[in-house]
Amino acid sequence: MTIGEYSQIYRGKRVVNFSMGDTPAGGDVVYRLTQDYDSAESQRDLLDNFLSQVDPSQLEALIIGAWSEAQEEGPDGYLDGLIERRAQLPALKALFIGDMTYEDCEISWIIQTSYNPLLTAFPNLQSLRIRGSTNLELQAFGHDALEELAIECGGLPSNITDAIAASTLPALNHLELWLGSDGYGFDGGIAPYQNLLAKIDPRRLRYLGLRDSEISDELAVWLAQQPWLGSLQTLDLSLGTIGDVGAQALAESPHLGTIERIDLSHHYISPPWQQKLQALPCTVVLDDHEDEDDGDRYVAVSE
Amino acid sequence: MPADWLLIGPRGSRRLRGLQQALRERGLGAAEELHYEGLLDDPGLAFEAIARRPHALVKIESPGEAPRLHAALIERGWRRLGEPAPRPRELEHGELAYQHYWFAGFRDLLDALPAQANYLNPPDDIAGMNDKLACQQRLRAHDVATAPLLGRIDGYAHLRELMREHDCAQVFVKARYGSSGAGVLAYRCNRQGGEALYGSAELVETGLPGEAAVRVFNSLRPRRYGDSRRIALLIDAVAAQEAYAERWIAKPRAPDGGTGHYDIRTIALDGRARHRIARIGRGPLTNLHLGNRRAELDDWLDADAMRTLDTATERAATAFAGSRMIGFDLILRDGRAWILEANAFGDLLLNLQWQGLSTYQDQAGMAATHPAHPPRRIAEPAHV
Repeated sequence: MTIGEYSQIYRGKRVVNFSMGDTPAGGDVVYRLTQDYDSAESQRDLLDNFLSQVDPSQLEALIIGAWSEAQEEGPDGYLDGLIERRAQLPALKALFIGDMTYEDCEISWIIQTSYNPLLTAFPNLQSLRIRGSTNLELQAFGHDALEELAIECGGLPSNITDAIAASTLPALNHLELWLGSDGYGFDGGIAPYQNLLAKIDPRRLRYLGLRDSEISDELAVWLAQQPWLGSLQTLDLSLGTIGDVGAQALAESPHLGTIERIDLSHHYISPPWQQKLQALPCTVVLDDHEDEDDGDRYVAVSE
Repeated sequence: MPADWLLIGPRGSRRLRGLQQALRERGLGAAEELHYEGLLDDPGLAFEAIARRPHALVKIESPGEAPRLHAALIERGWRRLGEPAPRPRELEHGELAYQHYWFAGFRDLLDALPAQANYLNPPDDIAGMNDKLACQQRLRAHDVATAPLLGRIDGYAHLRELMREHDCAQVFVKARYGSSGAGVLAYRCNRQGGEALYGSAELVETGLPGEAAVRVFNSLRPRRYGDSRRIALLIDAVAAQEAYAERWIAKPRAPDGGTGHYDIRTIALDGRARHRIARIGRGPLTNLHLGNRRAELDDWLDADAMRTLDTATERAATAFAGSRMIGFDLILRDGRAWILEANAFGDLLLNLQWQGLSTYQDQAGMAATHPAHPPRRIAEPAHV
């Protein structure tokens, strides 16, 4: 199972594709720059072409969709271009880099790059979403404005988790990590995540997503024992492998506090435990029940 | 003036039944049927039938969904090609093998039909569309935008070489004589040595030495292979029946809130685009029998996109100007259209209407001759 959808709404606005030769339709939309396999222009050309047709000083959000040969090269042309033109982009608050589906590229093959220069260049950035973890580089960083950090991938290496743990992010309230599968780069077990949550003061998080994980049960058991759990609005363990063990831990947790929503979509939970979860005073999302395959469970997105 | 019909197809075929029912519904007389099973032994039957009704519209139907006929065509093809290898063994249920023999046998049967008759689609065009590689080349020769072609492949190693040459990281490998997704494999690789192959083909390693060490079955379940060794075996097995590669063009996302991408099947009737349907796949293959969804396109395409669709369909139909009914598979994205395949038997689209008519009801109303082509003089039957 892989990602079959492009984002249609981003930061509350409708997403519209922009490729070379297009004229921006205008309106209150977010543009997604996309390239085809035979696009002749460079990433930088497309970015410059786009910025020449909109008012860069008003640009608040931008999505980078498929770039040609995403399995061969990273989005460096885009990132370097944004960094170079940062003075003309004072309003840019949100970036999603890598909005592509399995038709464009296997998620585990999307080549990424280093994000520290971008984060340094845009001190007012509020949201960064990255898809793909191959060649993804992130050193511990400080950023006063970043509220949302999301990394979607088929396998997240622990050095990225550790870098976030060592970062100083006072504004962060939405943290979403896709742990993925150890065949595709997940190498951590639960320890890096325990360390991460010990370091970043989870009480200020509205949303915590540890999604697409092979250790969902273990995470749920540990999370259920954390006194800060109930201060979240949303706990998102979807796309993973949670079963009755994790379900029981969450259902019986004394720390649910005022949590509003627990998303367990794509799960392996039996009907009795589903019922117990449904009886909790918060919303529990239990879409996409999966059946074990010869005793094996699979995350929703790995390849 | 609606035509009266002569249908050539497998005995008991639901395709024949479909048109017969549409004729009944229109209050027209039943079509005469000629069955491949009889023609195998006595091609003269076609000459007699056509001579009896020189103005009948002759529809040559798919020989599919008839396992014994399929086996007979494989045998016939093997003989026609001069018995180049040991005699083909009997196929197991759902097995994909000997497609090149099958085509040679079918071609032989088509060649035995009268050259001149009032065909819906003439035998040469039928053969020309069932040879999917020749079909792509013909479309390209008519300046029809198709998926860029890497060409015929001998096997996995040759494919990899061609992909390097064309600087192409993802391809569709297609059995040259396959139909409805059989032997269609979506393959991609990256510089890190990663490989992935999607298809409905199931690889079975029998452990027996020789040709039979690997068998390929058409399954109804999409699969993914990530293991280089098995990928190579599968591509080799399909290429042994002749195969070609074309660039994998990313399909657009289905705008229905679900997860999936889609391509489009259109029907050109007398050169005009008529029925159209989106085929949505959750993987790279969208064939409808693979558990994929259908969707009406009216809500998805604006007037411009619909025009692009019609234009692409009608342009592609000019490559087979003598054929009055062609199904096309195509991708429509960002104002561009790529024709993926032309299908001489592309009208088996149940419960799909165009202007209130099913594909068969639409055909049942056809004039005996193509309105744009003057009636051909029907030749005297030749001596077989």
